[in-house]
Amino acid sequence: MEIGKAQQVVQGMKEAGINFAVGLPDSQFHEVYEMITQDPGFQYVGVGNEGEGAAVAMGAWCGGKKTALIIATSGLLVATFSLARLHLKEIPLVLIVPYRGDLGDPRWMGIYKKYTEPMLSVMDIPYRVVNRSSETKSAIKDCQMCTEAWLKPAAVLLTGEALW
Amino acid sequence: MVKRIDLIKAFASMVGEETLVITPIGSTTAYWEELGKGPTSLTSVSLGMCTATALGVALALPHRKVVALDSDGNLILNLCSLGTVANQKPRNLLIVVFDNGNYLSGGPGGGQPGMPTATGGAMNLEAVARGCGIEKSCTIRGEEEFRTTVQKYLTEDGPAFVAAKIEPVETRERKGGRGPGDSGQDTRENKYSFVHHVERLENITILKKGGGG
Repeated sequence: MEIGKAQQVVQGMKEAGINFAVGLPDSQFHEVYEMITQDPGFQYVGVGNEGEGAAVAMGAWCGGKKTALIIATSGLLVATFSLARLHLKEIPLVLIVPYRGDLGDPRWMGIYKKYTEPMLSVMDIPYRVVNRSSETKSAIKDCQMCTEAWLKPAAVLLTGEALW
Repeated sequence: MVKRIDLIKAFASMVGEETLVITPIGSTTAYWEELGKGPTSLTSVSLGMCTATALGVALALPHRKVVALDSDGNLILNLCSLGTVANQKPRNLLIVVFDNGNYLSGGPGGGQPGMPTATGGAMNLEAVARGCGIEKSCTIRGEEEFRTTVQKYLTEDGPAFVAAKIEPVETRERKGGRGPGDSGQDTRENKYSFVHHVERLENITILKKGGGG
């Protein structure tokens, strides 16, 4: 990921007030993880699977933090059960995902296109697909505002020019 | 072998409402709620999420003691949580695992245990926790040993891990669902009561006020 595009993600998180990030790295987002771990404005927790990550974030929110879970598209599918539990308890959480398998992805990742958006819809997790890096910050801020107001996880999926 | 309910009663006598407790779905939550502890705890945190959630609370509130009352089947589902705890090194986190060696909730009833968990076979949770990097890890098999160990870890810096070996079946079986006299909360009701408890303890605002449509 180009540094400038990664900076849009990190700056969007900061402007949204997010101060606690949980992640399991994805190669497309390597620069984002590096920036977050080096930024004293974030408390970062690296986890072993994405369901665990959702649980850590839930606990941190209960302790007063503004949280984001930054995971791969595959990891979003792994996290479904934990996210369903957050939904049941009505816990806010911003999900930031480099969206693999969308049109324009040069690798064979079609399985993610097939399942990701239908899964988010079925789970009643509001999401926005962002294609332009100029829209990354506003999408993250909108997502944070709504997850807090609606008390449910919400997602930003980065693809196209915003990611590649 | 000691009973889960007896250890939960012992633990309840050792902590006040200033200690934040996270419990998993099943008997531990049910007994904890029966002791009137539910509204100031986060309860029924299910399928691998208990210790991880407690870690999140502990990291958000590093000055406050946080205890996960986890169980073997629940923890085994998300065993990597122990590695995450060890690397984060929360000084305020204690993990207690009630280890009955079986999936009681999937048991046949009639006083019979459920199908075995890995700890009902070869797995040693203390060794796993220690191998993950939680140096203060131990196994206890009796109530007095439990009291002494937990009291020590409640006052010392963590992270600490206690595997409490308990009887394979419960004193009495609980049926699912809520009925007359059930002291449990709806999971959303519990979220609100726990978060409001944290807000009062910490003098902070977590839940947005108003703004309803």
